[in-house]
Amino acid sequence: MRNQVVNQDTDSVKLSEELQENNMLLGYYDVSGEGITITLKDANKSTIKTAIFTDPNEFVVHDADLMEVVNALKESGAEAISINGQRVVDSTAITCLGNVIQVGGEKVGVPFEIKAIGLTERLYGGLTMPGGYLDKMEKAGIQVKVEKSENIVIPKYNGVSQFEYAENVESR
Amino acid sequence: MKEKIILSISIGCAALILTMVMFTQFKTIEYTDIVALETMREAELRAELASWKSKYEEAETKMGDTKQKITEYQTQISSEQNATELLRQELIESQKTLGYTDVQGEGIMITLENGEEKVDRFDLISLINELRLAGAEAISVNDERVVFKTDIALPTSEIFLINSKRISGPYTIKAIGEMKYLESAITIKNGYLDQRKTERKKSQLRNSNQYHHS
Repeated sequence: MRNQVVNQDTDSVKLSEELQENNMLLGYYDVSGEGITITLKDANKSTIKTAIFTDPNEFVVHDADLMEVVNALKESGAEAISINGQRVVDSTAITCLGNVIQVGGEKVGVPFEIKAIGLTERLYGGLTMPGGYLDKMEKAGIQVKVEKSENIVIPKYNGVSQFEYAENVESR
Repeated sequence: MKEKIILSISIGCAALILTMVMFTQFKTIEYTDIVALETMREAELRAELASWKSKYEEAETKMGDTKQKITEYQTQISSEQNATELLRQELIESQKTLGYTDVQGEGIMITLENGEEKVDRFDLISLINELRLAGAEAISVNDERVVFKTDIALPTSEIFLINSKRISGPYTIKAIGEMKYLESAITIKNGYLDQRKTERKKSQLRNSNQYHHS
């Protein structure tokens, strides 16, 4: 549609390019590129049996864990992130919903597959750093797998981002 | 004498049969009444359901019509020379959602401060997450806008890096959105503020009609 709108007018072309850029940042397009895939699974039964502490919470992937991993990915400069196929955008909230986790309104369950596009080495290094969050999780018994990939595809955001309450400040 | 006895017996028999018939009648009436009532209710419910269904279908067709109208309008606009203006508006909207512009609106402000326990990174991450769940449209921490790529790093235990800028306590988190939702999401029993209280961190909540974000 928008392409139709844009005619030979150079002004329009420029604007449309900028708009496309913005929409890409907002997560409105499917994107692909190099990056990493992190798979998180609850602890093995054998790990749980041999563990000294028997608090079952220790062996389960929680919403907080996903929040921390997403934050760590952003720290390492991830440009696009998805959890089990759900694009993580600015307005995405991660909530515990009993035995599943809700990511931006969609329920997702174990195993969690977190994909991130960005500079592969930096993402991989940042996430697998000793003492980093994934390292801590792995020590707690959670099954963590981090894989580099040349081509990661992350789907677009299905929702809408529209402001109802916030309005632009005119004078400044 | 004999006739009289026969007569009285026959009358008695007739009366007995009559009362029996009457009782059966009563019973059947009672029974049929209940059934009728029940069938009536079911019919009523069915009718109501049908009416709701038709209403739903009506709404759906209406939505389809409006959508069509929108596309019509849009093609009209594109055929005229208003394309640039349309694009500009869409661009402004996308810049707003990306957080490139200052915004204002109703919302809440939360201050977090070290109590007996220190405020840690997860306090900020989870607060931002809670606010987003409650539909916050714009969030800032110490006037540093939280956007799609914002991370909260913890190089030392005293200073956080947010958007690669250093901030330290007390932390003031502002959020624009429906005030009631935001407030209840944070103040709910055993919710965010309660949890911080049990962790002995100081927190405070204020409401306002106007919050600026840069």
